Parts: sequence; structure tokens; C-alpha cells
Amino acid sequence: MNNTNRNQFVCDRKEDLVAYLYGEANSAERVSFERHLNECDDCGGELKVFGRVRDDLSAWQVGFAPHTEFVPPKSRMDTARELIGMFPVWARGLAMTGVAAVVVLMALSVFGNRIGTPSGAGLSTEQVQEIVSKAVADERAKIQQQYQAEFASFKTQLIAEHQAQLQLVTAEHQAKLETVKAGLRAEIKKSNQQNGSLRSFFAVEEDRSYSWGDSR
Amino acid sequence: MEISDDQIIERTLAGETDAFSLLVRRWERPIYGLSLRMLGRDEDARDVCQETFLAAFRNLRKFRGDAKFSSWLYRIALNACHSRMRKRVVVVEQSIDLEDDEGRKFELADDNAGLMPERMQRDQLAFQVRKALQALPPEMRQVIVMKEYEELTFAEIADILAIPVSTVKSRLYTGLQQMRARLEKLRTAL
Repeated sequence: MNNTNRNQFVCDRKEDLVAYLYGEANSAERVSFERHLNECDDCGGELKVFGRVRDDLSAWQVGFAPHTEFVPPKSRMDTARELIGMFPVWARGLAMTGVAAVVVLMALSVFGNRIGTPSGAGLSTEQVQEIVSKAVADERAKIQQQYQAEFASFKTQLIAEHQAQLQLVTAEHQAKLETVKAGLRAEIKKSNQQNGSLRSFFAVEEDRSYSWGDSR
Repeated sequence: MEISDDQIIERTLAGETDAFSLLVRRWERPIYGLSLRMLGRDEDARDVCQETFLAAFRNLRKFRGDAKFSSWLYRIALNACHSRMRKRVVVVEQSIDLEDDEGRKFELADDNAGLMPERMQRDQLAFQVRKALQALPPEMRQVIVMKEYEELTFAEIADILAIPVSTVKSRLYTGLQQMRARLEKLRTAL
């Protein structure tokens, strides 16, 4: 098999070559390709060249992987709870009170006809209003108390968690940064010292060659 | 005995969401390595790492278990990398701007390969490899990265990319040829 041009590799056993190069040829394929190598200089040459490329590729090693901070995403209920928690207590109480009042009024309007007209045997409008106002006030007080307690507890927990996380992460990053910087400074110093020696060596060599040229 | 990926997934789906962190610890290094070699930038690689695990967690119920978890994870990471590459216009090289104890910055040596200390030669080569890889088309770059650095088999790569094994080999072959040409070009340019 001839190749007239370095870039025109005409052997049709490229895939076998790659399998052989990476040790993924089975025993029959390996024997077959080794027999082929005895006849094909192109494949032999290509194999050597690819071997060198692989050696070069191995020069790029990744020293370390940064720590991946993974926090599981929250569920919808947790997100909704957090969203509600963002509003002040009075706003939440007001919203709940409004909802409670609407529910009570709707219930009363449904059953209102059964209670009867003001002139009849049922409750008067003022009495109904009084009942509703009292129910709303009681509910509001209960909700306010509940949310105050929840909010205080949530706030304390959140602050403590965040502080702990922040401290941990800061300490980790600081330690890594110092290690990397110390390593780099040492390398720079060593490299500069070596470069200094190289330069002075070449300076001496140049002086010698100049004196030889001059003596001719 | 180490707990398997499938067992961790089972526990996570049963409500033990913290168990997922075990998978993150186990796979963050390979996913970061893959992302860094695909994108060339540490910052982008970290973001892709984060996005990958978040996407995996959110879609864990869709993971069928008929393939390996790692293959599924690599697929998510590669999709995230490609998405980022499509948005990116220019790749900006980051420089290390640090001084030693005496206030001197890093000074490049005169290029005489025969006398350069081995460590400096290797660093220079790593830099050339990095540049050459970034210049490769993404479909070739990903097979080289998965084969050379993640040491996946042809079958695993084919499964992740949903392409035939012969296509994987063909892209690898062409990718290695292009890497050779680019590395030679970079060496002569110095």
C-alpha cells in the first residue's frame, strides 16, 4: 500500500489501527493486524506517530477538581412556605382574616334565607354582623400569634445555618487558595533561579565564540 | 464494601436527598476533567459541573437504569458543554498573575529545549496540548477526551454519544491526525 502524500493515507484499515493502538482489538483482530503491519509501512509509521501524540496528550493532567457545592433544590411546598414567610406577619394575618371573612359571609348568605327577614322570627342584621366581627377578631388573633412564633423560629434557624455554611466555605476556600499560592510562589522562585543560571551560561558561551572569531 | 451508584440512586428516590451528595463526590472529578478539557476554562468547567449534577438530580426519576449512571452523567455534561460552546464567541486565555516572595513575576526562559528543565518542558507541552485540543472540532475533541483522559471504551463512548462504534474509531483517528498536525505547527511557531 503506497501513499504518495503524507496527508493521503490510503490504507483502509484505520479502524483496526485505532483498535490496536488502544488495546481494544480481540486476539484474532490483533493477530490479523500484526500480520498487516509486516506488510504496510504506512500503518507502522502512523502507529508510531499516534503513540507520540498520545504521550503528548498525557502531559496535560488536571491536578485537582474543585469541590462542587450541591444543595438539593427545594420542593414546591417548601418554596411556597418560604414565599409566604417573606411577607410581614401583619400582611399574612390580614390576608387570612380577609379569606376567613369571605368564607363566613358566603356561608351566611347561603343560610341567610333560612334564618329569615329582620321582621320575622330570625337574627337581625346587626346581630349577624356582631357574630361575624367577633369570629374574625378571634381568628385574627390566633393567626397572628401562630405566625409570630413560626417566623421567629424560622429566622433563627436560617441565620444559624447561613452563618455556619459561610464559615465553612470561607475557611475551605482560604485554605485552598493559600496552598495554591504557596505552590506557585515556590515554582516561580525556582523557575527564575533556573532561568538566571541559563542566561548567565549562554552569556559565557557567547563571549567565548566572539573571541575565537576575532582571533582568526 | 462501597455502595454502588444504583443503591445511592434508590436511596435518593426514596426521599434521602442527602445521599445524592455521595454521587457528587464520586463523579465530580471526572466530570470536571471532561468539562475543563472540552471548554478550556476552569470557570466554565465549574459551572458545567454544577449544572450537570443539578440536572441529574432533577431528572433522576427518568434515569432508567438500563445504562450505566456514569454514561448518563457524561451525556448530561457533554450537552451542557456544547450548549456553552454555542453561546461562546471568543475564548479568552486567563493569565496567572502572581509574584514570588521577592515581588518578581513569572519570567519565561529563553527557549532552548535541550537545556530547559524537564518540568518546564512538560508545562510548555501541556499548554500546547491545551491549545491544540481547543482548536479541534467539538465532535472530535470529545472522543479524544473521553478515550485519552476518561479511559472509556469505544462501546461506552458510542453509548454516551448515541453513535456507532465505527464512527467513534473514525473520529478518533481523524482527531489524532489533526492533533499531530496542530502540535507540530505549535512547536515550529515557538
